[in-house]
Amino acid sequence: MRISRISKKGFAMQFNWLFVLIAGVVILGFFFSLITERTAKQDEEEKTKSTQELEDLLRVSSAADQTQKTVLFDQKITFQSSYDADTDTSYSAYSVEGSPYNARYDYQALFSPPVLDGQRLLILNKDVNTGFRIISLTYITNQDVEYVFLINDLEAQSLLSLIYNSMPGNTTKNIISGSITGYPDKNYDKTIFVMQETDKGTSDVLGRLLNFNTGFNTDKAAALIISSGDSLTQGEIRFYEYDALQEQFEYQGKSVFLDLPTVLGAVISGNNKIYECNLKKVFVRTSLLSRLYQERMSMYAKQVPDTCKEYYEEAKECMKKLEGIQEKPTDNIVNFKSALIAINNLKSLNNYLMTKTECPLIY
Amino acid sequence: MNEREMKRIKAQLQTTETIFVIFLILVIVVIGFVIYSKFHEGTIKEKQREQRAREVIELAHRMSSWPELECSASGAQQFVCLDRIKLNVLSDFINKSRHTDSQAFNYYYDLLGDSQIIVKEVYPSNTQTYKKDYWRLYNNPGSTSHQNIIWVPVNLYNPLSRTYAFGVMEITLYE
Repeated sequence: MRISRISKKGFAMQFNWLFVLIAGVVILGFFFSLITERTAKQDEEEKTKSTQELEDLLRVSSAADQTQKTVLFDQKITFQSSYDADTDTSYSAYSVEGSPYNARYDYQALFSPPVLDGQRLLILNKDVNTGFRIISLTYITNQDVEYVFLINDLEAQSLLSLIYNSMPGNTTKNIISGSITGYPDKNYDKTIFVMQETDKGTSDVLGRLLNFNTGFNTDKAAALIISSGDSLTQGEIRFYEYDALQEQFEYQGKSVFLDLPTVLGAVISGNNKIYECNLKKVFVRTSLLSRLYQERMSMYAKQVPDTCKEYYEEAKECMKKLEGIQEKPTDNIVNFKSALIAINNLKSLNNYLMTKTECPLIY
Repeated sequence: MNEREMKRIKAQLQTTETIFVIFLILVIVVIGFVIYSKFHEGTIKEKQREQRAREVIELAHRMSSWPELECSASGAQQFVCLDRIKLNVLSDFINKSRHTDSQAFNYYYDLLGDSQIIVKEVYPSNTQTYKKDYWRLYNNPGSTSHQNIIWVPVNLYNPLSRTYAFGVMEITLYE
């Protein structure tokens, strides 16, 4: 009888403890999941905040022309950019790794390598060389991306030396001569080779890279071949990515450049998609502003003396040619000849108005 | 009541007590969670307010240096200065393109969103006459009454008479 009582009491005690234990585990689990979720959320919030800080920084930078800055930013940034020719739409966004928020930059011309993972960002702004302000080009890179210029004649004033000298301050850049084949892998995140078109042909210039051929080095090297025509700062660029497994450069595409700031964008990004997408944004802006300037010229013509009117008619004609720039295919510089002539004519006309007449300036 | 019955009641009481304590703890946890959620909701709203304030300041900063509006001489930019002819052109262009050219309007809509941008001359003229000393560049009100307004002092330049006036750019950002 006594044994039975003890066992019942023991059972009651055990049940009590078991109940408290389960409830305790449930409560602890609840708090634990709450803390885990909060920590993960806090991490996401921090990454989102970093993306937003970068967004503010780049937006403000793009409003301040001809400026350069070095910013401490030790997070990995991924840039995505694409242009759909069929729908004439582009998608551009960047985000800090781990951030659920993507900062869109559909109306900013931001040239950068696809991935930046370093300690500090190097940011430079330049205007497109059209005479009147259209859009500020923002270049962003870091010291973990290496730019290697193949210049054989250092004395000659070449496009490559112009680009070399225009690169953002503190960029990791190098000049070599001869061939890129034996160039050492210095363990940078990416190495971008920049070279000018020669008579030798692509296969000779873009040989196998002896030191970039391990499987880990996929997407570690890219190359740009620039061919400038009669004018030093206009021409075409061909983009290549190095495939370490195939041990050769793969052709990515071709595009045009109209001045030094645009070709600098191609070099900084080293990527056809990013360059093409941003170039389209420049053309859309050019087209839009040309329309606005035509309206402005019409408004001027109504209010200025007759002697000035003819200049504005001429300016309107040039602006009309510029308006069409948005429609031109970007694979051949010939498509842009009339637009480039229009830009030069506008510059001469504006200078003439400024120095020889009392008429209001075009821009 | 015998001893056995007493112990049974005592055990029942103990179990009820434990259940009650657990229930109480759960109620406290739920109340704590509700209070935390309310507090967190307040923090989110505060962050949204901060974000909107930042957006409107950023928009004002960008607008004051827009090539569409800025005063320039041979491409050289002047600080916080708007060209009166450009103001007329842009306000006409945006209003016209709203009905005729969706691509051009969408371009500005993407940049300006639900907002209203007004530029007024304050000195020497202050008659509030449309296109003379008052320009409504863009007007696309949102669906709510919540709004952030910022005023930016600007120079207004007339390239035809080559004269300056003092004005204010009023930027309203709707939620």
